[in-house]
Amino acid sequence: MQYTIEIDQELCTGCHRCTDVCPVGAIGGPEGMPVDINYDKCCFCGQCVQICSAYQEYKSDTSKPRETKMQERGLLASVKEPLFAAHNMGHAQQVWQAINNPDVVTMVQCAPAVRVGLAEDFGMESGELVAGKMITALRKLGFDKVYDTNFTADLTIMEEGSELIKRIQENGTLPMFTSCCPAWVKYVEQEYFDLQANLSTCKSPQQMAGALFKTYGAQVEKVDPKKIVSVSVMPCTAKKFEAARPEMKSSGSQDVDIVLTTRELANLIKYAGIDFKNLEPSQPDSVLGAYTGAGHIFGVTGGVMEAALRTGYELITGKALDDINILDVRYSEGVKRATIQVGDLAIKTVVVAGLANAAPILEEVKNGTADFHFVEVMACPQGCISGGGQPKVLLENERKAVYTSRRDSMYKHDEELPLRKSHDNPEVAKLYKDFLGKPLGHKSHELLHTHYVRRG
Amino acid sequence: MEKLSPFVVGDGEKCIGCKACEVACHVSHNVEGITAGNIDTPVFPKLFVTRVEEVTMPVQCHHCEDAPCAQACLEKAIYFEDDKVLIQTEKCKGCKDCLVACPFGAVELVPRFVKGKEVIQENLGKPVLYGNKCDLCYTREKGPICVETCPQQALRLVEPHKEKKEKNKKAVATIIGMFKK
Repeated sequence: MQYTIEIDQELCTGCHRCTDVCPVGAIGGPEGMPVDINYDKCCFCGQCVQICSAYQEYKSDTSKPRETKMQERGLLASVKEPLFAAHNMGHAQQVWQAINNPDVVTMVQCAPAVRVGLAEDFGMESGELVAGKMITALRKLGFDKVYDTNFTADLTIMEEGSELIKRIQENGTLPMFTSCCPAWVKYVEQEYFDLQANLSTCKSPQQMAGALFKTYGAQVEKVDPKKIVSVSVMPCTAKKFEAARPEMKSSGSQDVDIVLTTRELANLIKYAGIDFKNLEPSQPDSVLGAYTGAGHIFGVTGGVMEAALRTGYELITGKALDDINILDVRYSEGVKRATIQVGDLAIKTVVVAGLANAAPILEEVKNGTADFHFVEVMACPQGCISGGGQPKVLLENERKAVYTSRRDSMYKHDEELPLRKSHDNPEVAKLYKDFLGKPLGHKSHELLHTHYVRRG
Repeated sequence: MEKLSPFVVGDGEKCIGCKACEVACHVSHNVEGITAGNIDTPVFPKLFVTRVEEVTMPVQCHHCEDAPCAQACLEKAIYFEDDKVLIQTEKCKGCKDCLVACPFGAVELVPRFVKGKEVIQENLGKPVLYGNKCDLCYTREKGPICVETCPQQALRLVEPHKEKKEKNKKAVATIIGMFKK
């Protein structure tokens, strides 16, 4: 079986830098020997892929030549970058086949953080926002419909915000945990299954989009759902695992058929000979493409929390926030606690950045000392901008500055957008009016919510 | 007395064999962007992480005072610039004499790439090769990137005379301490 993340035994030098960076202790082996992954523990976050510097040397005497390894890893033949020991499986070839297949309708979505990382693989500045160029590139590649995960991030807020309010008002299970990070979800399932009821039942934005492409999208575009190939581009390696989960079939077939990482999209754009740097920007397609700043900041630690609070505050108090920038939940460097006054309600929040920091919070919940209502966890150190599928920073000394640029770019885009609260998204409103009904309604339950399974 | 050439050495006790120095070396000399997607040629480091039994260590040019590589080079492509031994790669004919002459194996012959494409000798159908070795990152303000990059601080730039003088001072301190007892 092929796993999402693998370590090439021929290339690994046993330096153990991945062992040190792995947030769940899934990598190990004797010193100086190639390391192994324990897949019962691995959450596929891909931080090992980002840190690994053991590459295949030019004309190396490994038993498998570069070309064989490239095929096994699912890389396009045009890929020139070095092959590192820790890597994720690639799926750009399948996407290339789908977009060149006249018998299928391809629909694509891109996660928030992709647009602040993609430029780097084209030699542009770190963190440069290329939202518009990215959309144009996807059209040029031949996708029939270019939608946006940012749209379903806004939708997630409508569902998850409503769920949180309901849990608070009706004495439901608290604290509620966010559920958009697939590595975090897998971690809860395998290490703390007793707390699975604390996880929001909301699917991630990727999976909400997938479920809608083949239902609402098919309906609007008047296409047979069976003909749709649903593709996502994610800053994340664990999203491949999430899309393949057997329960993610609300539309009748796998809701997301193929997941690419940001790096794989860059490779695909190069493969197609598209001059990315000089593309004119364009907008995602209606009716699953419009987004607000709140949906966009999902890509950075604290973003889901802030987006939820922006909407929750208005839903509960009926008043607008004095300052829409909720700095108290931003810039978590591990665990950040805050208390946000929402009308009469003091909502206590915890923002966890980095999966290694989650266990102490879960222990508090387990032993009954937790006094907080809402916990956001992102497995990667600064949220999705630092995801395992993002362009791989070559020099460790530059990593911090690159991540800071990506983060600042996320917030800058949020500030520049005309709408910054998820409930103001006109296409989300239209979706509820024309198709879903209301948040937490019957159709939402069917398409946008999920359940969890015990692992290990 | 003329200043002795500085050089980079690795510490086999600290080195974990991660090859981050090799990647940084290649990137610093050949790559414009900051991420892996910008690398469009094979990686050609100017230092070589080498494993012997349990120990790994990067091996690189010592910028020898009598530079056997330079003496061996019939094309005079290898030369001293101030205190560094450098290669004028355009002059290199790929004769390999420097490889043979170097006591450390610090020189590698590598194919020339232009805009991501290997340059081929038309008449021979073989790639154009040139000698590649540590240049102490002389165009880089902060000095050798390998030293800066190593996650274990296993590399250091040795400045022989400076080190000698510091050791002399330490020795004096020790000796004085001895007499005071």
